[in-house]
Amino acid sequence: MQAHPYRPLEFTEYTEEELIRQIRTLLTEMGMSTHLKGFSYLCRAIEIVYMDKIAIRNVIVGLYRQIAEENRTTVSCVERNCRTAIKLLFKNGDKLKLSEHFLKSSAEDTPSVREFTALLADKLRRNLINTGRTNL
Amino acid sequence: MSDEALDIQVTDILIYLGIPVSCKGYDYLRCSIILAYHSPDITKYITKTLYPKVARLCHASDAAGVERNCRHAVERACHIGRIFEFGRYFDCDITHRHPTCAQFISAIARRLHEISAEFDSRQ
Repeated sequence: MQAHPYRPLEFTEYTEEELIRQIRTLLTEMGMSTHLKGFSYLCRAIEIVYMDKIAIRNVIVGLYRQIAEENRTTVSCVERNCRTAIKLLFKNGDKLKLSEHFLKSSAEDTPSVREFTALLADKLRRNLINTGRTNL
Repeated sequence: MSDEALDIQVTDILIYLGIPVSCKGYDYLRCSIILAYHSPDITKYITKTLYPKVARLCHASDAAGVERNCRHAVERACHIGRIFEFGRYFDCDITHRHPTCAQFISAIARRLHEISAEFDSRQ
């Protein structure tokens, strides 16, 4: 019994500057304030996960450590700043845009950093940011 | 439906149902649903055919790992609760317990066939 020859598709191929610009506009449109350190850490995190999906599996040892080395801080500072940035985003941000991407926003608490980064990186890869939701 | 549209549709459904994107099971479920869409009988040979194929395609360790992660992802989605609204697409009763991986995959694949029929008829 033969299965379909499936290969994982890659939709968008942004250059580095385009990618950074896309991520920044995405986060600012959602309502994150740009003066936060967590803003730049999250931008860098989404960029890393966009490039290589496996990076999301090891958050503390892989992702935060890389960001901490680039910014000369510690892992716990990076983690705390990212968490604060997400918390403030969900407190002050544009509720409409947030509920478009994060369906949890009405029901539960804010998503974790890992969930946030993975979701946005996946949506960027598949170019699902600006389109409306399709029917179910 | 084209490959791209199919992939986007599956991603939409999985995110809506509440499967956390950071789980490995999210990737494996997406892969298995697309395979099940193209060959609907593959869920009858799930341990022998589907899981090893998904393990090879999605760079997993082995078939048992795929099954474990899929099960974990479905359970976390059940805690969020949006899966139970879709009880009519499942061919079993999911009000009392969470669906198994095979039930989940075949239900979403069947729903995808319906969606793609509507999509094609609208074109």
